[in-house]
Amino acid sequence: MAATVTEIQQILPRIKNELIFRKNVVAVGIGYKRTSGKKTDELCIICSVDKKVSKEKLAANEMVPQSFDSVATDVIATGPFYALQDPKGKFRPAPGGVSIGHQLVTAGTLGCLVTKEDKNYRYILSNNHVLANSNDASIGDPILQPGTYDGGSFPDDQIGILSNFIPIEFDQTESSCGIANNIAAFLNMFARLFGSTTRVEAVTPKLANNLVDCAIAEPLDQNDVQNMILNIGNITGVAEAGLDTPVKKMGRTSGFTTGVIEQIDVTSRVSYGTDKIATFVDQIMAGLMSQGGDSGSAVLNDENKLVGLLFAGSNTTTLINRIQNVFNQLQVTLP
Amino acid sequence: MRDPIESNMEGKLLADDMTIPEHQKKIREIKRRFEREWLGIKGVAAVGIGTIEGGNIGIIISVEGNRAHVRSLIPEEVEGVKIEIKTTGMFKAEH
Repeated sequence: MAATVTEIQQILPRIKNELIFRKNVVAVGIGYKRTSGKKTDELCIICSVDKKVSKEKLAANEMVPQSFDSVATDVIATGPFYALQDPKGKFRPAPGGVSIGHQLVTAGTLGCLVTKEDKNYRYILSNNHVLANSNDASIGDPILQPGTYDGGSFPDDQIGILSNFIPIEFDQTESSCGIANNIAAFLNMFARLFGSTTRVEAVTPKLANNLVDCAIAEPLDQNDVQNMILNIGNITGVAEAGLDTPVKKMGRTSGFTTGVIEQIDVTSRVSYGTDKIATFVDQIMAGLMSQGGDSGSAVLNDENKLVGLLFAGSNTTTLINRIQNVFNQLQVTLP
Repeated sequence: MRDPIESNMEGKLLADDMTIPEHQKKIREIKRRFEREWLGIKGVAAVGIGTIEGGNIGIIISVEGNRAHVRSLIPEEVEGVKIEIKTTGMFKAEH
């Protein structure tokens, strides 16, 4: 006589702990037994395993018994389980690693939560170019989760408002300074007239000294945010990343990826669309671990300590703000 | 003595201290002296410190396209500090 679901549910709490710790078992549940690959109508306890191993290679206590209290068991190979949540979806509460953005920005990534003096009050950390539209936004502007590119719309998907951002200083290049060139030429004409040897030069590109591309948003409701990172877990603190430090991130586009710090003390020119270049100093560079949309991702080391805020990349590399600079500039800390 | 920029975390041993010991301060000094000039060269995307060929630490210049043009303008080494050139492509804000 085959067991019913109710009967199996009665014995499952007692035996599941014994089964789940057996070799390779990743899940225990109730389902129909399969015989020779075909589903039967007999209910049984199904043990999902990483991979099937022949009986000869297992010790007696590692094997899943054929039955428990006359309830049959079955073993199926599922491979390991991963949390497969699409970071482009809507999350309430929203963890780090998911799509977010200012209304006029396609989409970036929610990095993590930070606080100011009041430790119970948490803010969303991401990039200026994600939350503040590269300086073009105003404090109080709506922030959407998911971002507009992922279907987020105002007011249904508003998660918060822009609270603060560190302005990005763009480089003054020859192409962006046509007016300056004209002014310089005009001033130099006067300089010559008055016999001055000093000339104003607008043609020399003026490089900026940005440390960070960061901003914070204030959640409309503190219960709409979650102090963890999707598919990674809790942040355990902050740390510095040095050369060869292994790092990881969860981002809206490329999901969970890992890399290694290849360069430190990096000064780099970063393109923000047509004719807009900003020079950043004191950055860290990892190998390729990001794509468009991953901006704002929190970068962690092996111990889940926060080391940086991802903001830019090329075809082969990823650029990261040091988290110490981000926290100093925004005057924030981890919750 | 740490730079103010490197010592902004309380009680932490910092990456720069760990990865750039005293004898490599020279690398940083050369980098800081010349990086603005190098970044002014068309095609140069970044200047950083990293592990170069042979496993030593040196200066790495990332370029957007062809290395040859940039190589012709930047010496192989300055005051004993090796300078490596790598093609990375252009850096873009990732939104």
